[in-house]
Amino acid sequence: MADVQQPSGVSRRKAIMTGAGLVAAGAVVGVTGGLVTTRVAEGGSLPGAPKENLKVPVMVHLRDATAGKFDVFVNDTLVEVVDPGFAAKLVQAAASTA
Amino acid sequence: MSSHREAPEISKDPCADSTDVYCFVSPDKPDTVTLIANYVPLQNPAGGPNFYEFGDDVLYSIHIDNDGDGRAEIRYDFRFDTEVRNPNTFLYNTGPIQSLDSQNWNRRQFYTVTRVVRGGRDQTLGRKLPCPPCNIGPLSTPNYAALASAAVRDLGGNRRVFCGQRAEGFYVDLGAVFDLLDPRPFADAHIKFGLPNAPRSGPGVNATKDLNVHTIALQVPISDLTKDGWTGNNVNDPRATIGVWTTAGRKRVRMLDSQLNNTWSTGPYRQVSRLAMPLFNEVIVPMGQKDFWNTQSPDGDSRFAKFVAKPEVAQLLPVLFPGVFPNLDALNKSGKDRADLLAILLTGIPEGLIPGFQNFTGKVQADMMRLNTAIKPSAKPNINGLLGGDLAGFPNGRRVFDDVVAIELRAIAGATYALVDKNFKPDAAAAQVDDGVTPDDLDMPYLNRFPYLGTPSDGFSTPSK
Repeated sequence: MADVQQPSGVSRRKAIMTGAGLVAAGAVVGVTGGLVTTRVAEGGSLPGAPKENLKVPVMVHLRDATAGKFDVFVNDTLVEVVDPGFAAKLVQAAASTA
Repeated sequence: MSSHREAPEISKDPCADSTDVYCFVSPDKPDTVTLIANYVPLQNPAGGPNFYEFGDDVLYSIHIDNDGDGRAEIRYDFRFDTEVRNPNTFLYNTGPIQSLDSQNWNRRQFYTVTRVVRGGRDQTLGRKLPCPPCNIGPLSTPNYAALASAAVRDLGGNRRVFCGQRAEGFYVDLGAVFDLLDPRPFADAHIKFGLPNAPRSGPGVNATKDLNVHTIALQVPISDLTKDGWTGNNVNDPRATIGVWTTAGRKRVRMLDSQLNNTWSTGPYRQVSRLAMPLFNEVIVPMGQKDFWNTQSPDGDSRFAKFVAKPEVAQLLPVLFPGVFPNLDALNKSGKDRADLLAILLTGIPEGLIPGFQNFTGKVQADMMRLNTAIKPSAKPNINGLLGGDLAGFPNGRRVFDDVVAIELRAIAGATYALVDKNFKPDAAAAQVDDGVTPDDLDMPYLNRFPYLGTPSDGFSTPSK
């Protein structure tokens, strides 16, 4: 195990499925060594709220606000999402608490 | 201790805390290697009602490097799952537990073991394998040895596995070692800082007596571990030596969820603990880097080599024991690197230094426990291993009874420096320094069969002190 342990094959498949869901919603998805990267299509955030909740917990970390980079943790996998618009909203929300 | 609570962060996370690694050619099955990884340190046997267990949210791994690059070619992963029969009682058991499927046992733990080959497919070796309960006492676990034996599972192909509580097999006078390095047998020679009531010399005291630990033990054919499945008797064949280390990983995110009223973890595993050679992170790596060290892979250990080359304990010995280690003192002051320790701890001992022995894995500096699988088990084992002339003992792998504290203390004191500098004469004390405890100071004896560590002490007979 190095810094981050490689996810198992099952988890990788789940990650790709997660990415596939985002593709369906209009995002660009890349897969590199088990890490799924998605970039929201130009024009802003994904449209609308999901129709149903995921069956597993998902945690999102705004890693780099200026680049709009998010780490999305689900199952054994990290999905990297890039969405500057959503990052801006979160930064605005965080600033309002200061 | 060997690696119990050896770094600030992991000391707060016992479930993931690697405490000891053992690997040796099995004395009763010499075509196999036994790999043992211990976790959950310093268990007071009476520690109920929530007795000790592995973490369901921890990934436990045993890694094997068989080509000397400090990276694992083979990995065995262990994942645990706890099942509660009745959540409406506080009891661990509601009657005697006399079998692993006893209805009286309320909180059982199962595990899956998976073999992972770099660049290959994962192979599940066993699913829903049972752990035994903790050894609670004569009413709850009346025939504990039989319960534990039932939890030794055959995986086929001359492989077997056990996961569960065992008696702590590592022995050390912890109280003396961490009281400013004052081994009781040598206390009269200690500097004592002018304190009037400083301890006088006396026999060592085993601080781990009566304590338990959680063990992952795996026995597999030598050919499962070596490069190209090599087996043979040629000690100098580079394929004979493997490097072993263990890790524990936790998912990167943990959420204390007030809405769901529970705790959950998600994301990839991040390594939080690792261990190979005993005491490496504990007394070689400085405090400011211990947590970092735990997250790293052995192939990057050259960054820690400077701490091996000039170990802090070697600097301390001549100061704490004035006049006892003059040759070590001179060696320290010469500024020379400890090439002996760099070899023993980071590359293995090359051919030609010790007749009939080598466990060199190449130039890559990596903290791994190196085992030359061509060296057969000793008919008359010596707890001092290589220092005692027993080629099958530590630091050629590590058997459960090897006195690693004495061996490492003596090596650091200069006992092994003559291997690399024939002009160096070790101090007389270097061959004697010791914390004064042996396997005779254990409460529960070792087994002469898998999983080799003894039956854990039970809570009733070993009440809290």
